[in-house]
Amino acid sequence: MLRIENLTKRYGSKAAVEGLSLHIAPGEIYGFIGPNGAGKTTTIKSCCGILRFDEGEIYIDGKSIKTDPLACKRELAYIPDEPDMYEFLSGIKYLNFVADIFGVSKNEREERIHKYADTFELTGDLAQPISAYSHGMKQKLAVIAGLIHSPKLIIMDEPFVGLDPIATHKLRTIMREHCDNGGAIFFSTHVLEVAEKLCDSVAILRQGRLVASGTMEQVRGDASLEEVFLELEERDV
Amino acid sequence: MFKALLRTRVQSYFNYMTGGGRGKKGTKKRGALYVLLFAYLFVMFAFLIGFFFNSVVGPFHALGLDWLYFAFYAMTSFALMVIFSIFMTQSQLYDAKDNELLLSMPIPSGYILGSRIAALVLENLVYGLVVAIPAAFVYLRAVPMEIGGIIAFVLITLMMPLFAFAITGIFSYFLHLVLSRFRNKTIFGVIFAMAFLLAYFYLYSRLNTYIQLLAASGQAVADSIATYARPVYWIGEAIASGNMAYLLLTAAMFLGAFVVVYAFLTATFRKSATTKRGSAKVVYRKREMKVSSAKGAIVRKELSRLFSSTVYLLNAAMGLILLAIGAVYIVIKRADVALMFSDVPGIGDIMAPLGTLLVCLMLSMSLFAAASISLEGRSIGILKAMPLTAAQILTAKADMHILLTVPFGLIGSAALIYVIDMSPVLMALTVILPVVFSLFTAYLGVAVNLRFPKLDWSSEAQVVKRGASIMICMFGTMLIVIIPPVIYGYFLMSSVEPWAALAAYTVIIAAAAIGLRCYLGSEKASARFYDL
Repeated sequence: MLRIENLTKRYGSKAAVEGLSLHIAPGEIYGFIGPNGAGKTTTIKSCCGILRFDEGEIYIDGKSIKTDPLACKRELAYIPDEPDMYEFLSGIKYLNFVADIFGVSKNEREERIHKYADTFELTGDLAQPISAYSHGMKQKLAVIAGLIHSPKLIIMDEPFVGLDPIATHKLRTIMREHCDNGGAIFFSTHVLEVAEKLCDSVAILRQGRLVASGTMEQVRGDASLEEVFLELEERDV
Repeated sequence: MFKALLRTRVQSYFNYMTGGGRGKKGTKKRGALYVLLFAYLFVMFAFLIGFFFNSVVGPFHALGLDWLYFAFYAMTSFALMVIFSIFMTQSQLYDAKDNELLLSMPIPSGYILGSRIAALVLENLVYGLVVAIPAAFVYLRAVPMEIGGIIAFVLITLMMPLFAFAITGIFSYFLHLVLSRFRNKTIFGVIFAMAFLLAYFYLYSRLNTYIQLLAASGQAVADSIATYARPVYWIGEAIASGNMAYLLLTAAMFLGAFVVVYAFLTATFRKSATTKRGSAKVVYRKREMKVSSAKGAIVRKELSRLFSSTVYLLNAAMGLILLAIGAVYIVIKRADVALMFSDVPGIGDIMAPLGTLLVCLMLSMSLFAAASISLEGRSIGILKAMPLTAAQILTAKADMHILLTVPFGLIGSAALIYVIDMSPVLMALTVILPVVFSLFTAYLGVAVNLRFPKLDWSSEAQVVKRGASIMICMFGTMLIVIIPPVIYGYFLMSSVEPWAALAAYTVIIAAAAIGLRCYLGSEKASARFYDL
């Protein structure tokens, strides 16, 4: 579903990501972990076609993000770490805007918006301007906006930040269901316990380079993900 | 601590002038360009104001009413400061995005407020100098001044920005208080500003009458001011005669007002900047949703942004407001306009092109597109992640501009055709040029904003009022409108018919618009957009 081949992205002379290769298969929840500044967000933004990269290739469902970005973007949803949305719109107007851009039919958008807004208990607030939303409400809205067009691949940057425990649980359930239905999820997180429980596979990034990747069992072995992560950090230090 | 805050404000101003920020260093070239633009504006205003002072200095001095000259200097200076900063103050003090961040730090409210006020006072001083320099120049050319008067003039010029802030500051506090109680702040803000602007334009349209009245009956006006507006008399007399007592009274009035307002705003700042009041929650009711095209959705989104921001709407739509007022005015005064030109046969041949260029000048002050990329701010990633081409995004921003400006341009054209007797060819050009010019300014605005974007603003006013792309587009397009008729008047008038010159100008503007539209659809523009 998502294939990253030898990705390199530089800011000036500094390489934020160097020679990164990953493969996320359909049905897989893939965790992406690493310390701050490791290059996770740069990788994610490159996968979503937000950032142009210097070397390598990224394929979404077999299509290149470089040569066919629009087709790729139609297949994916990006949920950013900071929900900087259009605060001058109401929640429902924002969701309608996203649905219009993705060409979602009237019936499908009504059904999905109401279904997910009810799930996240946001329905009553949809007429409110986004500027009046809390961080958690914005995060919920960003998740609903990402699900409106029923994407094959969902890419999320720190999706659990700002969500209350109930919303976190509901999002995890949605993520699992999405992958059980043949979709794929690639997300970054600092919450290693969540990654350990939720992910089928995981990649650890440090200073723009991949230091470990594979299924959860392959990466952690008999230890916990936290122990593996700390050990890799200490080894590099 | 205060120094650090002030440095941040100054750095922020500097970044807007040079296009720095977001990891990019501002370049000297951009800074120089910005300085040139400001110099142009400064000189333009100084000339206008100098003309006013030049017409009253002689009669006032002859009547021994020199103090009245300086009283008018003070009132003009004060009016300019208030007009230019009144809406900016509210936005800068209470709508800044970093208010909560700064309030969470161990910084006294007075320091946060003080650093913002210092920047506003500095801006007021610049506006004050636009009046002070021509006023002093005109007076010194006509009348010698004593050293005491010169010192008083300099001190009053320096203190006036503090007093102007005291007035706009207290006004902004109450405006914020009122606006925070309204659901639709934009409409209220626009109505309020429109009332203010209409009053201003009314006074401005009567200026010539007032100048004649002043010159003819200076003594009567002086008596009224000296009786009913005593502080204005103190200011005038302090400068005209170097009266130390009046200077001290003026200083006490200016500084006292500033200190009181500063103390009041500091005491109320935390509450005012953080309290969310007003409107009751609107509960969403499930209903049928409307479906539209992607392009339609982006244009609607752009319009929603425009109509949600008073500062954006007012600044960007200024030209259209002037155009509508002008069109209505000449239609109402059609008989007077016709009478004015009735003795000159064929005057329509020259008035129609000039009128059409005037419509274009108003359109050049309509700056919807020039701030549209900057206003995306940190949410620009939303558009980048969507299945849209950069060309779709950029042209949608231009479309919003076109959608708003073309109807107003056509209203201007219709008014000209109704009022001026012109040939069919000129009639066609009067309609075509404003439309073409609207397209040109729309594409130019987006292209320039793509080149000079500011995405890390803390208040919309920063990009809408002072953004480099706004300044470049406004003054650039103004020059594009003003320079050709000057060249025509000097070099081509005897050899080229006015309609032919206007036709050639229309073709050039159309070619430029097509070139810019092609650029917005190009790979180069796309790469630039995704590099933002």
